[in-house]
Amino acid sequence: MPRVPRAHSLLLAAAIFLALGAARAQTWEQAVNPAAVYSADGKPLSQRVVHYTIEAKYNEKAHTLDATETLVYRNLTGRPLDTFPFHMYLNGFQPQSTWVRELHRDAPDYAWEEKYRGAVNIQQMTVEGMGDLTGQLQFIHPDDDNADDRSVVEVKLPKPVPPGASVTFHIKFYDVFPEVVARTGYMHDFVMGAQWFPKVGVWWHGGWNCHQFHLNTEFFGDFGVYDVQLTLPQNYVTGASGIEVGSRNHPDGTRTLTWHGEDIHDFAWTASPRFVVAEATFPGSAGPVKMRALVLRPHAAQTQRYLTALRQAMYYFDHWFGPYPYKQITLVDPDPDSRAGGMEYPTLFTADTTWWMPRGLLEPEVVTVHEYGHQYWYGMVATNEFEEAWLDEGINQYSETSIMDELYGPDRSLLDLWGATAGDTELFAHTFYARSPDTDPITRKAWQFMTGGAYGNVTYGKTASVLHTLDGMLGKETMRRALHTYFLRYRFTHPTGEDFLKTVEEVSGRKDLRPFFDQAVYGTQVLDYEVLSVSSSPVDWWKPGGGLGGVWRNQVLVHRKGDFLFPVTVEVRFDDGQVVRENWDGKDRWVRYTYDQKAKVVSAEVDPDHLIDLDRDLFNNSRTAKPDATAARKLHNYWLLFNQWMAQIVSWLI
Amino acid sequence: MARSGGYVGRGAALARRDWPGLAWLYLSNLVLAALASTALSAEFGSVLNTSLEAQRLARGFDAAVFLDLLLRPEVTPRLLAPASLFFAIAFALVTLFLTPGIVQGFLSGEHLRMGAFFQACGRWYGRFFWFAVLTLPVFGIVLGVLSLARDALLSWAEKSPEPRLYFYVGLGTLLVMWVAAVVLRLWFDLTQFALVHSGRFWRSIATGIRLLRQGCFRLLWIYCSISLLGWLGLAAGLWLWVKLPPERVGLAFLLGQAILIVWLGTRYWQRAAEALWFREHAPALLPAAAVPVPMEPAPGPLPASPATPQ
Repeated sequence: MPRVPRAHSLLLAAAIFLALGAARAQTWEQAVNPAAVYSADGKPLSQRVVHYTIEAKYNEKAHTLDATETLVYRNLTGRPLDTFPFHMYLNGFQPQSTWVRELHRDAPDYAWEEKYRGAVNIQQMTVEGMGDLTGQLQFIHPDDDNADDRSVVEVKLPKPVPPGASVTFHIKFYDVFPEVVARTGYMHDFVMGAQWFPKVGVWWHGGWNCHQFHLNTEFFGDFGVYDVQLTLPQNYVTGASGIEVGSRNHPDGTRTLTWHGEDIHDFAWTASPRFVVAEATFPGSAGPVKMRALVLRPHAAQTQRYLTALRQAMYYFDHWFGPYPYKQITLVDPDPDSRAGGMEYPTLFTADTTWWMPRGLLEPEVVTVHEYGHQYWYGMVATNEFEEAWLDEGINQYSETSIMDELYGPDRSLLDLWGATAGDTELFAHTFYARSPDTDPITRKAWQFMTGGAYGNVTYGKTASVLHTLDGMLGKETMRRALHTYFLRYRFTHPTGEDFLKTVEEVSGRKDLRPFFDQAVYGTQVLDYEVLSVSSSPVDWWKPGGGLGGVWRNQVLVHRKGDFLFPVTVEVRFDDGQVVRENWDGKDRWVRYTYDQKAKVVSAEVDPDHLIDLDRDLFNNSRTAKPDATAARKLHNYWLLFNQWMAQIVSWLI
Repeated sequence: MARSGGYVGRGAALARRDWPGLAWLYLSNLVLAALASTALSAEFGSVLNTSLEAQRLARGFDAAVFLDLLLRPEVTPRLLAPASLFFAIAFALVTLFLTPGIVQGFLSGEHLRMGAFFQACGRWYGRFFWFAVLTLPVFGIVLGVLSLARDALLSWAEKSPEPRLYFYVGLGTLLVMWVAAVVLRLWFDLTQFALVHSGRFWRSIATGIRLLRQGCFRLLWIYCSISLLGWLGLAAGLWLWVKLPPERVGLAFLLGQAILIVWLGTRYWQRAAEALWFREHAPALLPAAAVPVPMEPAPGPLPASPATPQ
């Protein structure tokens, strides 16, 4: 066989590749896939900016993937585009990446191992009508000075794409999956294919929005259509975004599955030979939704817990916020060691449990409700998670805690085991927030928070506490209407924080919420009120005998300890059963209430209806005239028993 | 030879007869733990005693409120942990001091009066202390090696996709470590008995080993039988604890103390049963003068041996 010169061989390969790509694209254009969504008027639900067509083959032994991707991008920006950035997320799992740098900054003891290395390599990129542009690819790092970060690559086209026109990219790429460090990769025979393909950035607010992959940031993408063919071993049970539209076995023991997704902005898949499939149907208001649970065999006993929680979540989201328009939702129970649990993707999410999970610990339920909630506050209301993570994680945390409290009761919606209880809102909103009350404003860009812990506490906990406080200010019904309006108005778009806040103002009819938003959302002021003292002494204390039996002067001193100005209610109780409520605007640093009467004050409490979840310290909100040591004695008892028991263990040794 | 059940039953009777030793142990355990707990109790009280929020801990146990409490700067359990360790070590030393008296009582045929009890404590304390100093490295080496083996097995199990394997390997290896620790404990107990009995330090260690080789499985069985009863007592106590109305703090205190007395009593009972076994098996290994054993009938005249020179 004559040797083909190198330049010729490259040209030949490119020509074959282009021809195959075009043929494939044509095949899918012509293919009639069943609709993956319910649409009342038959029109697309979103402005479909992108259409990805991917063919991939997974090597389960090497944990690698060979793929070709065709991306058709519609230029709806209103201006010519000649530069396109692509996310290359898997390159974040490399020791010199920004992602790992930030991890090392937050956890200096973190030890790097080669098995954590991930990579996505573009082997070839051609653009229809413009030729092979592989040589034009250049890694960029728009967020920091890390030249070693390879999580964003940019290509400059030889000629711009005019407004309203489309451009088609053909990309041949190769993935190396890491043992899961976060969200994506393999663990044992489980694999989670997330953030796995070169994905174009979003043209937003007059520029490309394509941030590097950071430790704390999640994702942002344009809506579109995904047609994905994935070849895996036949014994693997798989799940993916969208709906399955085809399956064919091959003689080599592999199977190719085809999925079709519409009006989604990402595509994820998962596979394991140990998945057990359970299915059910939810009668959604847009149409029946197939609930598909892929549960690992050791966790099969918890399948019903998962499905029940999913059904409950779907019911509440449908009733409170709006319809779920997709025809399927897939729940994935990941390998428990994989760190892939508790993550959302369009029409698919990962839950989390262990084989020994007791009934009284509602972790599978909480995770299921939370991750399903992201179908709304990420999947459909597709906010920019890099820059405004609170709109996704925070609103979703509020939704999750509200639903869990509604289902199980606010004092035991997370834990009800052996006499111990805990509420989801109390623990996963207030306690989170109380750990970082003043480090960062909610609106800070995700990678700019002080630490990963502060990001979590503020984005999830503080946002949920702010919204629960709004529940108290506006009423739960009003807040639900506000979120319902926000969802219907902004689904399948990319709204901002201001869009959300204005919706709350509009629906509630309140024009006086700005000072609250300025402090709670944009500021770092801490809300903390305390009852500093309660006292009763005879009015005529100076008389012989101290005036006992006469009138008492009762005084209650309330102090604004934090710098957050907020009007509060103070409830004062007296020993004759009388209850007095005072309203204080909270503007001064303190207020003193004085009551001359025959009864003595028993207690005083700020926020007696417990509506201000944003109050950092709930212990100092009240004060009783007489101390009651029951709780302290109880805790002392526990500590004493623990010390006695520890001492006995130590003494056993000698 | 008596059955294990016999040792367990008679051990219980012996422990009951010598109950003051247990009472001393319990009282010192309570007093020292109370000293270790006082500071944290004061910290809790400063936050909780005048707050209505405290009712969520008094009328139940709200873990979220408890975590909120731990977040407060006034509450510093981490700073108080060294005090707990200090008092735990103090209790271990008190136990070491009381053990010779307890052992002397168990080995003698009758209940010791208080004076004799403390006299024995004082007489043997130094040697018990040095023996304890010797035992700690032995525990450290044996359990350290087993712990390394456990880690290796666990990292192997971690590679399996079956999550229960990791749990069962972890549990199984812990059980092995526990049995190894109990065997060592039995050796040390036997050595302490021999020490009180013979007064010879190094020889007692050897005696302990020889006795352990002789009765290891029987002693292990005795120990585990009593342990099982202790665990059952603990489980019953915890079951009752969960059933108690959460605001009945006084009752919970009494129940907690009962559980700890059962736990402490289990160990006391084990020593008593081991002491009975020792009393019945030690004579063959100890000098005749040290153990008052019934005299065998005097042997008759020896037959003449052909090899015996006349």
